[in-house]
Amino acid sequence: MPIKLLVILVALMSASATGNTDSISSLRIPDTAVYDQNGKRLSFYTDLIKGKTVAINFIFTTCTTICPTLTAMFRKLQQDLGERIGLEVGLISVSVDPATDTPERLHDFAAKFKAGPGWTFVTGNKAEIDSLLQALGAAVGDKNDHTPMILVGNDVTGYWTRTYGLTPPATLVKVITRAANRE
Amino acid sequence: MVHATRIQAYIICLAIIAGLILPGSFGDLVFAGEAAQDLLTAQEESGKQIYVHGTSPGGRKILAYLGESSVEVPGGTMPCANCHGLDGRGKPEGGVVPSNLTWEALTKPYGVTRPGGRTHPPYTDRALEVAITRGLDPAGNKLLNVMPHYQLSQEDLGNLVAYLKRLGRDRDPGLTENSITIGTTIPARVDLAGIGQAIKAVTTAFFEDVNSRGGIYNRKIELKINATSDTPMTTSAIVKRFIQDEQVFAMTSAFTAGADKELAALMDNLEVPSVGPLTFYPQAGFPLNRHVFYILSGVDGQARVLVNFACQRMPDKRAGVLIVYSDDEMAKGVLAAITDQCQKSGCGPPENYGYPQADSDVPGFAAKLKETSKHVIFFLGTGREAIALMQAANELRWSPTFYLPGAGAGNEIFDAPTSFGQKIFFSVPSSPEDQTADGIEGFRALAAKHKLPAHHLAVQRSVYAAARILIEGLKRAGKDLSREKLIQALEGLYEYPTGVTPAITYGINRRIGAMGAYVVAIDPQRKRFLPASGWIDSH
Repeated sequence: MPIKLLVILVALMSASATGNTDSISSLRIPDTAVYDQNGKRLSFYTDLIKGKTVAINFIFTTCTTICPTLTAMFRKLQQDLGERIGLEVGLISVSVDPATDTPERLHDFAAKFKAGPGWTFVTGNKAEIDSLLQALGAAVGDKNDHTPMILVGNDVTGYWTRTYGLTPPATLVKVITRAANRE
Repeated sequence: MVHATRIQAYIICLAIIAGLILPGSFGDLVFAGEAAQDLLTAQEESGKQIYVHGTSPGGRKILAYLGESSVEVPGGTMPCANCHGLDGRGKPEGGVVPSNLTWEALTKPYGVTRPGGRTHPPYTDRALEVAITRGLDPAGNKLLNVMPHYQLSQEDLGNLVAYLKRLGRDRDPGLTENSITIGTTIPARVDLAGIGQAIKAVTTAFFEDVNSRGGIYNRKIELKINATSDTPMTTSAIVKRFIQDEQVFAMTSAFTAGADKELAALMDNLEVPSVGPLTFYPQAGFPLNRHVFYILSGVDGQARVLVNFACQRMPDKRAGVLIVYSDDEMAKGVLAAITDQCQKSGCGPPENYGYPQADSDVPGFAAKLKETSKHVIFFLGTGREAIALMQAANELRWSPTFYLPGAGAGNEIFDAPTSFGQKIFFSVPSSPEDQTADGIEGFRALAAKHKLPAHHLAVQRSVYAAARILIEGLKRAGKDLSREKLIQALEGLYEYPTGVTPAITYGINRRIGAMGAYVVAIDPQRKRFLPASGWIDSH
């Protein structure tokens, strides 16, 4: 466990410092029961990750400084990926404040950023979301301290990498394409 | 300068004379002077809209470009206040520390050294424009890349810079060093005059008591009253003018029934917090209207409680239920709430039937309902209509259980056929059980001291509760008051006892203080209401 933590820490530190990406050797994604922005119950791994390439960011709707920026970046990513979204690549925004972020709130937030199909906003029971965040290496004590980080991965090949949340969308498209094409 | 001082001396002199002759006028003069000083100019007001909302008052385009990739978003997605705060001091989040934008901080004569070591000389108007549009500080350093570059017209830019000079020192309307203006709206209709008197009397009395104890952080509450008009549109226009002309900081116990949608939208639009509007139809759904805080559940919320109660009593949930509704625009929201709650409780989906237009059609209508073989009716209409349907059903030897959400019926319900004696249930959003010893005594003392009218006691209690909640919010918001701080303080209320209603809880997603209701049955022999349940929470 300490080794895994260290790996994540190093990955996070270097990611935020340089904007580069760092691959993660192994990441086990739990099949947490979650809700999407339409109040639909989903199993996180089965419905959102299994067999796909995904980009995951971490947001909360009452965050006004960094989250709108992160979300606007995802919006641009959605536009740049075009038809690949939904079929080949999924975008996921996980709330780090599930107690406040009800599906209705996420729905309003998603609408504000014109989120289209293939981009899922995720919330749920606080304890379960907390353990999901822990598993994804995005858990923080205070939501205001959450690091702008994007997790990119390909479930088929088991390749996962983290990148800085404010990485330009054009670069992100490359990171995602690399993840998708990886054998 | 000399001229200004002379005028000031003259005003003070006048004030002293006036104060000797007319006690109280001295204070008025001071208020007037201060209010004028606090008001933003038209240009600053325009700049404030850009700062707070990222939109141009002239309808011109404002765009924000993010990071090096220049992702383009509308200015409204990333207004300045998002990161720098309404007070300009910055809201650190996710490792980002937005700069302090107050004019004193920007123009410190010895320049600024940022935590990261970036140093720059003081800002000027021109330097600010460059920072906003090109992302460079006065030394030519690049600002942090989370600060968007904005594209906006020269006029909007000028307005924004004008406002930045006032940022952090401007007060919301209706607020001075020693007063807070609170407004209320009473119904203009003659048949509702009693309600109007109740609102006016209780609010006036309550604020007089608050003021006699020193006010809120030395600010006295000044109450302004206006009245509704014939149509929702004209009422909305009148209340808008009232709020702007009288500089109303917040509203309390405004009578909004009949114009709920319009007035709630108006409060949101003008950003005026409104506590405890008097209505049966709260507008508390998503997207959430942050500015309106209701006290009790409306008809829709109460209907949900009745559905839960009814479903629990049904021997077979699959038997299904009926909804009978009068042709009323307002019934639609309640209809949707019942349908949704039936689904959640597992006793749906309900079948909907519109109540017949003509009385002569009621027997046929009853026969049609009987044919469905269902025995539960949620009835959304008047008491008279419910009785007529019960009588027609009685003729058919059919006695389904009636559930009447909200205040749809009054004492006329005691005329129901005896076969329905045990089969009528109401909901009420508050009951005498909610009144605490402290609440009863507080209200009694206020009534005795101020000789409050003896009628419309339920309205009076609601008005009393709203005033208590508002004052509690103002106290918690602190001396450095703003509308936004009041909203946040109210959102922090948890199980707050008004003493005359169920305890009040608001939250970031919650605008109904007491979400739930009691179920009440009737005793037709003794013609009285009987409690059929304790408090049922619908949250």
